[in-house]
Amino acid sequence: MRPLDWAVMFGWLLFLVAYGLWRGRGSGSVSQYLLAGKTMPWYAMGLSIMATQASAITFISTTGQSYTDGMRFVQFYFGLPLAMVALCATAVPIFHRAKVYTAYQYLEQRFDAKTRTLVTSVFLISRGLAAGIGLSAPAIVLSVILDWPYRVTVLIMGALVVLFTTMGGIKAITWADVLQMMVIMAALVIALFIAVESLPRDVSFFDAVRIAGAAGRLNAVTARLDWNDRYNLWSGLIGGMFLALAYFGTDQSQVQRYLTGKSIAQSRLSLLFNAMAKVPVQFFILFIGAIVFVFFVFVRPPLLFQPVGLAAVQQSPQYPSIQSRFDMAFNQRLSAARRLRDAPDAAARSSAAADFRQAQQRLDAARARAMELGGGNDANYIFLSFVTHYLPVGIVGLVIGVIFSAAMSSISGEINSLATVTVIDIYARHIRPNASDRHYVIASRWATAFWGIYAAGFAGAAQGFGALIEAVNQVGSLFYGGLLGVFVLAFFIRRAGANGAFFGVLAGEAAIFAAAKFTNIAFLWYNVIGCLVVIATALIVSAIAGPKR
Amino acid sequence: MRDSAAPEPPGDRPPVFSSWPRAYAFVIAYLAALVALLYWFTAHFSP
Repeated sequence: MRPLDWAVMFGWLLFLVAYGLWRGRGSGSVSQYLLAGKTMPWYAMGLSIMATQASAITFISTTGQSYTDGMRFVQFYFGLPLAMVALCATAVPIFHRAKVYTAYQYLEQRFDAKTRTLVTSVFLISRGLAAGIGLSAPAIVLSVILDWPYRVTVLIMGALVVLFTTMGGIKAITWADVLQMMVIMAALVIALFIAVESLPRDVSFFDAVRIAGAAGRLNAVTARLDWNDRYNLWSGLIGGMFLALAYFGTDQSQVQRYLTGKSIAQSRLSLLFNAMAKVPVQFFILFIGAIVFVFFVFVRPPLLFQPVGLAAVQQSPQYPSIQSRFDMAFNQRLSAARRLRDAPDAAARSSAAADFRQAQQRLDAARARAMELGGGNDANYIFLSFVTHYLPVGIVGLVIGVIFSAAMSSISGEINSLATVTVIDIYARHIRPNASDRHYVIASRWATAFWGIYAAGFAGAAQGFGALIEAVNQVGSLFYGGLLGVFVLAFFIRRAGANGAFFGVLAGEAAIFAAAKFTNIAFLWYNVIGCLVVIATALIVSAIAGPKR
Repeated sequence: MRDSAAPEPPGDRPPVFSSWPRAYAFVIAYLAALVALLYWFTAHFSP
């Protein structure tokens, strides 16, 4: 990065923090600090919800996934609109009318204190883990790309997050997210435009799309049902719907966003906005990864994008042979791509496409061998490598700054929700039930600082995970099925009693961990399994003990 | 849908549809169209 890039990056980060704090001023009461005084319009909540999901991991990992595996990850989001509709019809009005700060408060109204405390604990464990991964994952990548010590990167991100979230509360987070989401979309459009513009002059946008398709990178929908395949139409629609139901319906980091709404209608609109925008936005991000793939069909990529891994491979005696195989495969692929572009008829296209795929397999094999020697998952470095080497000065700083702030946005939302649950469901419920409003605001600020420091302290322990976004979703999927099950019981099954709900959650979590340990079932199905086991167990226990218990 | 039985208070109506169930139906139809479009996109550009 050049001096202008550093100036743009730090300028953007400081402006974002200042803007958030300015919009978050006046958060002196618990209601203001935790729920923005229920004053938020739908577009602010909707963009904030999207910004929380569009974390740094989205840019770093999703584009890399598309580069290496194609666009099939988009199917993961197919169930989200269905979940949004279901939540608009159920959870949104129920939570609003219950006048709660957290989703788990409602569980005590419906069941009892022990069920609320159990579910609160499950949330704190799962979200606490995710916050740690959420901070460490982008810090690992950014520290390598920026050539900063890893701990310095974590410290800068952690300090900005703690300062911003502790002082401004949810209002600061939400308005900063609004600004950020708009800049994110602008940065992505610029990145795509430059990727297309950087293609050789004789390769048009449509040529690039055709080459990406021939390489299997535009595989957005797989209709075949395969229980062990992570992403297909059915796992996306059903498993994705359950995951989204759990995430938006039971995870306080999301529930808290739409509880800040002025009215039930505003909260519903924010979720429906998300329902309509999420799949196209995700498609667009994946499409950028596919175009970056085509860019590197014509421009020779490094053997590995991860500079530290590449340096390690270059020290190996096997390096000359691997690099030679890689270069040969690259030249064959380039030649096949040019034939594919110029093919006059279907037969010529088919022959060129077959040659392209063969060359791609050889190139992938060389890269796989290099990754074995270099260690780590190279996919997470592809997009950042493209940004830092091929985008113009100034834009590089903007994109890196946006990725930095996206990480901060996700983490600030998470630690804000962790602090809210800690204060409302643990501290105010069990330790200091009758303190003043001011006391709880101070406690919330301390809890926010605690969770921020915890997330920074945890960072580093998650380096062994593969593609980052999957790591976060997998951690979520271990816990979300149990949480979703208990809320389905609360909303829909009157016969379910408190003991049924309590033991149902325990059984559901046991079933999920057993499925993860002893089967190869794809993680998206854990939410379905967990939810169904919670409901079945609760019905059995309630039938034996009676619905009142 | 649970909330379709009770009439919507004026402030709680969606801005572009007369009722929430109609807004939900629109979102589901939109999803179906989107999936169909992406299915065509995949088939059209598949190797």
